[in-house]
Amino acid sequence: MLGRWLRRLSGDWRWSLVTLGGILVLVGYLLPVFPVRISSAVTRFSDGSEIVNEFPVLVYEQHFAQAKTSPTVDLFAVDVATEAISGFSASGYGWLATVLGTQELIRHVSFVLCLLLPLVAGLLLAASVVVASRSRSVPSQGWVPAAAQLGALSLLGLCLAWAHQVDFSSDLMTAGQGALAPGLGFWVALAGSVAIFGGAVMLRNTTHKQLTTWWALVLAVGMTAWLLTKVRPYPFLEIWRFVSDGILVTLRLVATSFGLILLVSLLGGLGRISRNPVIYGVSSLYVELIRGIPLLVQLLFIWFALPQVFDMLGELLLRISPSLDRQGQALVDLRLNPYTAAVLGLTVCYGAYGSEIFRAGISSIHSGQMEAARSLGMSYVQAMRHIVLPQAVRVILPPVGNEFVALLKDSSLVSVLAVSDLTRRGREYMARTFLSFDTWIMVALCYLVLTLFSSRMVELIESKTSFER
Amino acid sequence: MLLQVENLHVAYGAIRALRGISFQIEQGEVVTLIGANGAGKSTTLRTISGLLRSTEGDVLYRGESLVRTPAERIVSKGICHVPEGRRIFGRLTVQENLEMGAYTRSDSKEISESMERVFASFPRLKERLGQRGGTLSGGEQQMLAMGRGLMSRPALLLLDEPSMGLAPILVEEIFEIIRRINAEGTSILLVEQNAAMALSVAHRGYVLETGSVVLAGTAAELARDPQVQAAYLGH
Repeated sequence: MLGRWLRRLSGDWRWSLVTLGGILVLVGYLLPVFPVRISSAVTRFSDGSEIVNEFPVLVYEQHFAQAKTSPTVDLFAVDVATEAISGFSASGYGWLATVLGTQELIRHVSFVLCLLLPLVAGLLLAASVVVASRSRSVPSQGWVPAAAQLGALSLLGLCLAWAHQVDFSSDLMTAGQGALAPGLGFWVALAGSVAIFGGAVMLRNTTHKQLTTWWALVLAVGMTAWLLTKVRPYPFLEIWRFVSDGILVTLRLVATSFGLILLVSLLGGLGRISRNPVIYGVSSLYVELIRGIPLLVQLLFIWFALPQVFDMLGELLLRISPSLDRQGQALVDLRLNPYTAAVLGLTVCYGAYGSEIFRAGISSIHSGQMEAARSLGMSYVQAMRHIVLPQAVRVILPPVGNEFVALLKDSSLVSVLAVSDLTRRGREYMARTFLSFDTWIMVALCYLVLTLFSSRMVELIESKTSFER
Repeated sequence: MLLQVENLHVAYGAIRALRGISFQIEQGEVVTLIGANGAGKSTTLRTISGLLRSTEGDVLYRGESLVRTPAERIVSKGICHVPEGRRIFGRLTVQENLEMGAYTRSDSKEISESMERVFASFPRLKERLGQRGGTLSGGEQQMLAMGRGLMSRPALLLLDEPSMGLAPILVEEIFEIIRRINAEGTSILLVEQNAAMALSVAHRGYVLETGSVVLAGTAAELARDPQVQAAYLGH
């Protein structure tokens, strides 16, 4: 069976290599991958105190527990108890089965992912070869980038799975005294991954598609942030725990204001192409004024100056007529909460830029489309709604996506309004601990993951909706 | 009297495109407007169908003024404009384009009858039913634009340059179809640069120059007129 596949593919030995790699991963997982594990660790400190950690399946958060002790005591020693695993349980499949069966699956989810990545690569490549041998041809060119990426992921997954064994703790690694060395199966699977990756890279000339995708960058930045929390839990894991609620605030803020921005942009864009001089004038004035004022100044105005404007208006109402005192008093009492002010500021500012994008998008649709729709009996609104806008959306989408990414970054400015977004939380942590470098590295990485991820999403949506005109 | 245009003035900003033209169309007639580029032929059609607003003058359809009526209401009154350059919806199929033509109608049974009638006039459209409009040839696109116009069951069809950019053999075919549509009872206002073809199907014609009617008469009279022959027929 195996020989037949390889003969089929012998037209190109590089494909044979990729296939062989997939099979090696599947076979390697049958052999002992991690034959020894750490079952417990005792961390001793210079003042005689000790922390005892029992690990039912895998080591987790050992290092963090050590680093969180008082700075006046020193780490004295780490004693480790290991346990040999025999038979099937030591193999890749066995480890997966054990971990998947534990109660604390959520703690081990990254280990499971790391072990699954090579397995998926192996299975997919084996399956592709079955398909290819049926159709009596080498797998299509589209498989080359996929195979390269699967190979790279598989390599990465295996290496990280090993790191999981020791939770990145150099103390544990020393104390384990080589007992944590990976077994034969690990090396076979690793060789398989290298074969997949190498074969696919050598195949790159047979395809016009690019081997790298920028998703890899998103993954790399995400991994860096995650590794930092693993390698140096103090302070990085602590910073992460401190600022992570800020990420949620940032995301909620961006999502809310982006929805409103789309609405304002649509209205503004339609206003900018209106033949009605009043609508045109108002929307043009809005766009021109707002685009000329920095976002930070707008936010400060809304937060600090707008209440005064409300006060003045309210007092004016009170003075004009006693019958309006309810409304007047309401205006005097009106206070925006920081979150509302932030949403308002971002919406007003980005709505102006968005209006220009929508106007340009609508203008780019040939006027004949509107003319044709109108001469078939559609009203202006119907023609706009059913004929012009659906076509304009595809023109508008790429720049609107860019606006989204820009909004995500500019949302950091709202930290001046007492909104506890990611930036604000970073400042709070820094003020408390004076760890400026570590804090801002972590915050920057969080923003990078968010922006890189969203720009990749925008790219994806663009390629799905692009069309020839 | 089906349509009467009286002293119509239209301006694009400061540019006066029509300077008081008047003409009329009787029920069942084919009337053609001929003239050079920029004479105001297309502007006249666009004003009748409500896409442009006149500054002065009146358009009466069955005795009712149209100059304040929005374009979509004019379509349901029975005037359909097939714009210059065809303006089909390139991303929609032939069938969807035709269905768009019946946008103002809601009688689905009669709509399918209309579609059958369109196929009788343009058998090629039936062959291309599922094809995207943008992939049709120029002649087929013109047929589709006219078929789409007929889907609103107009009493008066406004055709703007149906021969534009078509091969001579297709031009003959298009004009043959125009003749047939007229024979089935639809009045037609035809704007053409190809004066010879236009005068061959029209009952009457008007010659436009820089926004004014300079000559009017039956098609036969115009074809014999030395001025027309020299300027538009190339004799």
